[in-house]
Amino acid sequence: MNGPILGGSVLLASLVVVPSSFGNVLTNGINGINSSSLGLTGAGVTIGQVEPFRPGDPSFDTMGSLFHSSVNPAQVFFRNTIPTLNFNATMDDSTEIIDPNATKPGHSVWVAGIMVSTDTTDPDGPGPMVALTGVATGANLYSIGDNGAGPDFDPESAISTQHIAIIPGANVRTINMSFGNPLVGGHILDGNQLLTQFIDWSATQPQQDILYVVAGNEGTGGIPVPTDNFNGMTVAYSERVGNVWRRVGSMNNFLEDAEVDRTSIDLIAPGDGFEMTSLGTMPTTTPHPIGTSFAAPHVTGTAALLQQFATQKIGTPGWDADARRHQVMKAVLMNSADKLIDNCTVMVNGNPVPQGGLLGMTRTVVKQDGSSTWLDSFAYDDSLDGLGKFTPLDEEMGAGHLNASRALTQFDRGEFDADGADVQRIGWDWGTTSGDGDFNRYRFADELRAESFISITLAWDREVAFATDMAPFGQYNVGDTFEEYVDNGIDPPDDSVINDMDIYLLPRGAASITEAIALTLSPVGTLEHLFFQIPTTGEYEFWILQGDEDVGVTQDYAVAWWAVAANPAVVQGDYSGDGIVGIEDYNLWKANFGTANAATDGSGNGIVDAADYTVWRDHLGQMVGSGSLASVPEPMGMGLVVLTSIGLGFVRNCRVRLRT
Amino acid sequence: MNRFALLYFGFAIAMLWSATATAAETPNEQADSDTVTIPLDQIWAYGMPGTRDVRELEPASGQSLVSQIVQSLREPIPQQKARGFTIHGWGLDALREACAVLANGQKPTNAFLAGTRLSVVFFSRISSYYVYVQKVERDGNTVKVYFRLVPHRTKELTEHFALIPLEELSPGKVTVEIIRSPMEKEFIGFKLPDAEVESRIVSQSFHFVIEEPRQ
Repeated sequence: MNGPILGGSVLLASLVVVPSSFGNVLTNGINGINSSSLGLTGAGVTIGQVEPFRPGDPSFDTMGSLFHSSVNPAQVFFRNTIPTLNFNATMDDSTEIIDPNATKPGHSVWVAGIMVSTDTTDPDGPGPMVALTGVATGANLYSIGDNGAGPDFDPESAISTQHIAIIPGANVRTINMSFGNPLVGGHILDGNQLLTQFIDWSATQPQQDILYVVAGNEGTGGIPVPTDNFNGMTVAYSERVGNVWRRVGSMNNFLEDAEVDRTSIDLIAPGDGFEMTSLGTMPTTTPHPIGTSFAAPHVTGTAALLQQFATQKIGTPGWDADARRHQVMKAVLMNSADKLIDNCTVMVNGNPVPQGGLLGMTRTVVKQDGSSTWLDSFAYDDSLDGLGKFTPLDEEMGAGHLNASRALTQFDRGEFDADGADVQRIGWDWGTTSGDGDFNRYRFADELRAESFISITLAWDREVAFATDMAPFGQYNVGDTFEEYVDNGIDPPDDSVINDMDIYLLPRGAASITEAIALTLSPVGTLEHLFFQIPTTGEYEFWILQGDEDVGVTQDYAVAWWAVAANPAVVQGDYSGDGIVGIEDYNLWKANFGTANAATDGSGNGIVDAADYTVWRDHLGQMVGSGSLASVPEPMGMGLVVLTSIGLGFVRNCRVRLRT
Repeated sequence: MNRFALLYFGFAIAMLWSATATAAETPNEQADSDTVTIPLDQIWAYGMPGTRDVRELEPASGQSLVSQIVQSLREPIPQQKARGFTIHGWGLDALREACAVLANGQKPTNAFLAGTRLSVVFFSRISSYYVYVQKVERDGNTVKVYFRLVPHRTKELTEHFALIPLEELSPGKVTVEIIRSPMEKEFIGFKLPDAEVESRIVSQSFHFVIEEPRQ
């Protein structure tokens, strides 16, 4: 794969500013996951939903009280006979829709709505919350109820999931799992229980290659499977501080974390403090539900947006089918997560991180205690002496808060090859290492700026194989089993099914990992994440190193990176300082509107105003050394943006600039 | 032993078993003879099957009482045990009183005059279990509230409360026993909260006093 492609012009061609005065409290608005202004709907992308019960479908269900007209799955299924392979999709039977144990029916509708609802009404009337329009309103949603029976629900969950994973022609790219099963048979959360094995196996099948998004544990727990997956993503929920979703929700349960030192949580996303599209019978006085169930579909929906974008780009120079891979999705979504707000207020060692140094992040995420941030996390310090090098993710935050806008910026910059031409400061790669000790080198084209942060995320798969595979072979059937790995008491228990992979950050031209200035080398899991403050302006490179050959000589992986150039002022309108004028700069401008923030004062008139938007618009799509220019429509609802920005309280006089 | 002898022996065993079983049941029946069951459909509740939906009691205007109560049950789980309590009134009056205690911090009363309408407030704070009142029995001044814990398979959290009407209590101490019923067979394998955690989530047994009307 050669060279980066600048896709900002395509990305922003249909830019729409949040058209609602309620935009500041929409989860897909700027204070949520910021997906509504991307010009993407997930159109043409098929996504899945697996739960105990399925949502109603207005296309063929007839009981109007059991569906919402704005939540319209493309297909629905319900497993009707145990343990055969039969499913039905045509019967109108309320028992297939409603959990008889739930007196507030509609979980599957809420979850589906977060992904695809077209509802824009406000059933609560005037107030701070409005109904949520789905993250990916154009996606085709395939939903299935597994109709599981205890105590071991896993076989029914697995075969139901597979039912939508392999529907011919559906090409399901990501599946949402806002449910969990109990541990059975003496299992622990080491990835060896059947449903966890199944989704990790399914993800790796070439004909499936699905990103599984699993709701994290909460409350008193008890249904933790498959949160201990390796190849998917597990999502905790965030709650609002003011209007911004940025605090780890108080009811997340992190006691049921994966075994050994592995962290289950990959990301957080909104799960409290917003309305959802509900069944028609839902009284408007009912407080809206809370849970990780509602965080996961935000990630699933965002993955659908990225898949749509990949479809648009594949076939253009620099883009191929690798862009669709679940590992690429995972690396992109995690590497672009928000940790610390990029507005000069974050202090490191007594000094503020200059504007742009935090990669355009739009919020500071705090943990359940309400004050601890990434800087307080065991995952933070990736220096040679830091503990963070063994702990890629924070146990509560994972890599941080989902930000769809930043994810698209991360993805949009395209794929670069290792060991080839120098890479840009933002990008990703689908690569392969070739054995124990082999490494792939990524050299940055530009100097990286002192005091700015670099973020690198590496994702690869564990291997799962059948122990018993009954006909039809190569598919999961009830009764099939997967091989369990055995802890020999010496290696980490997952080592027999995982190759070890590490990240090293080094000065450009380094000859050995002994020259590394930062690293992440967790001995467990299939994820490495480095977030490190560049000590001095200079030339750098990073290596992806294969550490063993436990499950084969070669190892495929996805890596995403984001760093800051030493000369951000080269391009006007590049408010984030990443060397490219893109959507992240627009978001920074919007967030700082009305302030005297010098970094987003492109016109130099002392205040961030419409003139700075003009500067951004006129240089959209340009990058260092590029004269490319994109067109963008006038922003709609500018006045509302002004009100929103003021309402957000971004009234700061931030005059700290990056120092070289 | 011939066939008739065997039949006779079997019959005798059966009769003996039957008599034993009857004897075992008789005391309960006698004990239950004064037991009054409060039907579920007389209980106003939030999120409990078989009960009356308390949201139907909401006044037409003003801030939702149910929402206030639910929001209070969503606060971080305190370290102290959750205490059940009794309030004046039935229906909407009880809902208002419950809201005053749960959402507005009013201290619950522990003594009531005989002859007044009362309601027991049973509640569960936000958790990953549905908490349902299954049966309520009253025997004299002992009230037994049986509830079920039904584990979620979906990853949303729920909170629940019920307003259980009481009347004709005799002066003296009234005991309200909160009793968890065994988990149903279909949920075997699901984890139950340990007793300490459960005591902070689900309101616990308590007492109150009925006083003679003052002359």
